[in-house]
Amino acid sequence: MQETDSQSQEQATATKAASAPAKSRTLWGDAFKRLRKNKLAVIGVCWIIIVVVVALTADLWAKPWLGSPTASDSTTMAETSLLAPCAEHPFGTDSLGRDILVRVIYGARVSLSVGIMATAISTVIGLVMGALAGFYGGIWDTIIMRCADIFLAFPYVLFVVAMIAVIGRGLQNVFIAIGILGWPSIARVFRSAILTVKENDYVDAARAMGAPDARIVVRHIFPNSVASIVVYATMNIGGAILTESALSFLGMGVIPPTPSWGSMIQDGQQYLLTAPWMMIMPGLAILSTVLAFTLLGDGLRDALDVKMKDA
Amino acid sequence: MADKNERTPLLKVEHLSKEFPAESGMFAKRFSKRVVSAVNDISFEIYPGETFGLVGESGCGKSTTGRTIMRLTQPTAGKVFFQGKDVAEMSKHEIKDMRREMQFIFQDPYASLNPRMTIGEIVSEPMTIHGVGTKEERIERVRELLDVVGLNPEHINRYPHEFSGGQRQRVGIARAFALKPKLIICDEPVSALDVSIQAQVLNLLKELQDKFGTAYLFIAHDLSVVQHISDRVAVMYLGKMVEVSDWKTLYSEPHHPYTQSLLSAVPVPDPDIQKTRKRIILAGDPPSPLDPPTGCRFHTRCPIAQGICSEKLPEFKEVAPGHCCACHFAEPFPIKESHIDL
Amino acid sequence: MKKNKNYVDLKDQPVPEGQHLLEVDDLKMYFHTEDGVVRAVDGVSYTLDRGETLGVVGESGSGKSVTAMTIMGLISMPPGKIEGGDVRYRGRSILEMTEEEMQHIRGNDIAMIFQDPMTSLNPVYKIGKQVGEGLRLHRGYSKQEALKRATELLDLVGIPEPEKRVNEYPHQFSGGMRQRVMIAMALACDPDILIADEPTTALDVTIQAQIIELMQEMQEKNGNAIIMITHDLGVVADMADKIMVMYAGRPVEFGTAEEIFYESRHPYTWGLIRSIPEQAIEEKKPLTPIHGNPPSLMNLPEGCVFSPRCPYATDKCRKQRPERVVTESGHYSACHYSGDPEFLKNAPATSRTRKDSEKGGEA
Repeated sequence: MQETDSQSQEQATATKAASAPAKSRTLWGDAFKRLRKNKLAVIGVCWIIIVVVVALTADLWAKPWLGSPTASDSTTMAETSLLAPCAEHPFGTDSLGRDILVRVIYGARVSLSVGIMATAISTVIGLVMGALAGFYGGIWDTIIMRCADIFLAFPYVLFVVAMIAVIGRGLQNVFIAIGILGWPSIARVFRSAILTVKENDYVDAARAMGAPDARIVVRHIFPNSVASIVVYATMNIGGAILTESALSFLGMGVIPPTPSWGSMIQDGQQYLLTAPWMMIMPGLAILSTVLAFTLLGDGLRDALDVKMKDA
Repeated sequence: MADKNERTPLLKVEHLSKEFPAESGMFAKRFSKRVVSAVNDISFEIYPGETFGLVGESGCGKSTTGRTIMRLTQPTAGKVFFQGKDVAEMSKHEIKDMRREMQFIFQDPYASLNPRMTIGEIVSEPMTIHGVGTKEERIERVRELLDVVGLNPEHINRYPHEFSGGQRQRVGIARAFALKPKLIICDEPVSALDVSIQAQVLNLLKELQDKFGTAYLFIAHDLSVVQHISDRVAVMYLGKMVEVSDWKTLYSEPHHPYTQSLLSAVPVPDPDIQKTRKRIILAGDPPSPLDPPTGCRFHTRCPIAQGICSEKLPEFKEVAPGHCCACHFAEPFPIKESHIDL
Repeated sequence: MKKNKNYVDLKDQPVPEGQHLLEVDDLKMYFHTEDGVVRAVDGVSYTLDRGETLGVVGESGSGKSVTAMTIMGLISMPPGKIEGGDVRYRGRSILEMTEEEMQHIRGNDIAMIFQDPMTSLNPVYKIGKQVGEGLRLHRGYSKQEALKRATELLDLVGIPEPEKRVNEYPHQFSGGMRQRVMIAMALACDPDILIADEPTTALDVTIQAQIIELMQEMQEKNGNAIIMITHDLGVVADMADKIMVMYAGRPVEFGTAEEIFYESRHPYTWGLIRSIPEQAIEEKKPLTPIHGNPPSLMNLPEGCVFSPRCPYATDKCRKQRPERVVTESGHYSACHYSGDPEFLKNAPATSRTRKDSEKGGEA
């Protein structure tokens, strides 16, 4: 309601009538307000926060409560392996008697760090490439975009697997492989955003004033095209988590016994009928987290859409 | 206007042409010879403090003319002199100086203001770019400007989306006047606005001109608006200038058949006049600038065209002092009969 | 009439005694949005008969288009909601009709043309197919019959070489030609009422003149009524018999074209007339704009909606919503002072009053 009031006040303020200086609303501020109204996006954010907090604080409470996520005790294994979910082990235990909940919690560390780091790498490369292609056009545009086309023409997971095969396994190499191979889509999104923004009269207006290129880029083009990258990167985190899971499932991800959601599903594969929780629990973790990032991305897209303001 | 010839023109445009390649893409420039002739060999002058109206229908090249003068695009041929200096031969430094003296007002009040900048930042940007004053001085000047264009100076920290279309156009005007330029190119500044707001903005532009002595190149498709604000008016058709004259002569004694039909096609908000006045309704559509007609570009729609019109390009010649027209039959017209009789 | 055998074609029904072809009676259409209620149309009334042209004039956001869309049943509800009033076509309430009945009305009895001829045609179908679609739908024409009639219609609206052009696609037509196609499409089923929503706004003046002439010609031939929605007073002066001036969702003045242009009684209409630059050949008259901006439809001012911008507003205007002041001829004006002859002296001079004063001066 407050928004409506200030708007109508705005209208009523005839061209010159002096009114008390109302608090100004920035577009980012407005976007945040709109995001808060979007229930699904709020659910997504909450879930992401929960997962992050749980994963970061796991050493403090999860380990003492549920035991180590990696070590298995061979003496008690017979009694503790493949237990169905119960009060003691809410998610059940796996074939080596390890608690699945604690493994899912520690697996979140891997998934989140891969999602965020890989996306960060892709975004940095993608922004530079997209900016070069969008701002300068011509030969830069042709070279960069044809490269991107070639990258995108390969089956993505296969490409990542091939790269891991070359640089070796391990968490860091997973970041690098997923990150490096993810740049083309970000570059494309950024380039098209820049091309759209470049068409706006305010860019011409700045040029007509005699503004140097650097100023036009920094003050006019970048702030107006970055929104699409924020949205795309958010959704890309979910995508990177999925890719990591696929890699781990294929045995190309992090090295066991470090738990990862993908490798847990792979472990559970052979117990599909006898101990389905071994697959279902990490599967649910992947599903909910990826969904949360997608919901947040969707919400951001709606919230950051400037055009909706003018309706 | 009498001493016009003795004054030096502020802006002089000589045989200006602008062509765009018809196809875009990697190989277009190299292999395609097809071009869109947007502006073709036009010349005019603008004197200090006057308003020069440029009127024509969509695609006639009026906006391209403005943008080419502003060097937002490079001309294909022809010269532009600003304060006696050839723009093409200016050094980088001189170009920057010229941009101080020549500003632009855009048509779309939504697209012409950066949505992520405050009104204050937008209006002070020309001063920031040209390093005028200290930060405090600039803020003071922005407040002054906002007040002058009829906006509340308290709104300096607000963003464009908090304003209506008319108010945004005022912001655009404040920005154009920030450096007190000698010439402002107004590209359809009121055509996106409602009638009542349009009148506010037109009055504001007039007021500011009286105050600062700025010259306007006023580009619009609306004849009534152009007549209202202009001292002299030029009519364009398909990239060519067909007639130039002072506003009174153009509207009372239009020589060119296109000007006459344009004038008669504008509906007058007065049923009595509307019922009785004579009208020339042109047949067909304007031809494509990709493939303009030979000879006189208007001959395909001209009600009085003859054989020569499709063969020979009519010369743009003076039919009376200060009144030029490009038509083979400009003189023998029964002009009086077709003009709007009030 | 293959599909609806038992359907009575309303167009063939006589207009009931003492009623009009179209009667809009105190129509109210509000939009219920998250931010509040938008009173898009608030109490619109008018009547229309065959052969007549009604001009609806107003600025953007004045509710002129929403009124037309409501009559056509094209407003999605929710968020739209009819809060009162009625629309009667040949004595039958349109608002009470089922969707199926409305589908029969649309295109057949009441047709509409839109502002943007570039987006109102479907780019993937040939022109002939689109023009004949209504005939196949409403009249049960066969493909060949529809195409034949479409060719005739294109010829009728002045498109050269219609036999060739029925087989072309919309992108092969210019803006003016597309608007002609739209008119051909709208007139295909010989509708009673043609609603034209800013049909010439996107067109150049010389093309606008062609389209206006065409619409008038078609009206003379078919005898249909036209509702012309526009922001351009010049266009209504050219076409309209009656004019309704709208402001902030409400009709502020309604009367014949002569009454609106020469005997206007509402300060908003005066403001509009004073805002238009006149084509003068003697002296340029300064424009007198209306101050301020139109109000938000969510937060209308108390009393008269125009009072914050009205130069004559009094305390009464700011507090009390004005009733319509109606003259014998049916000319109404929603202003407290419309009946006051002293107040009406504030009206802008017109070509008629100027002539009169000249004559008076001579005598």
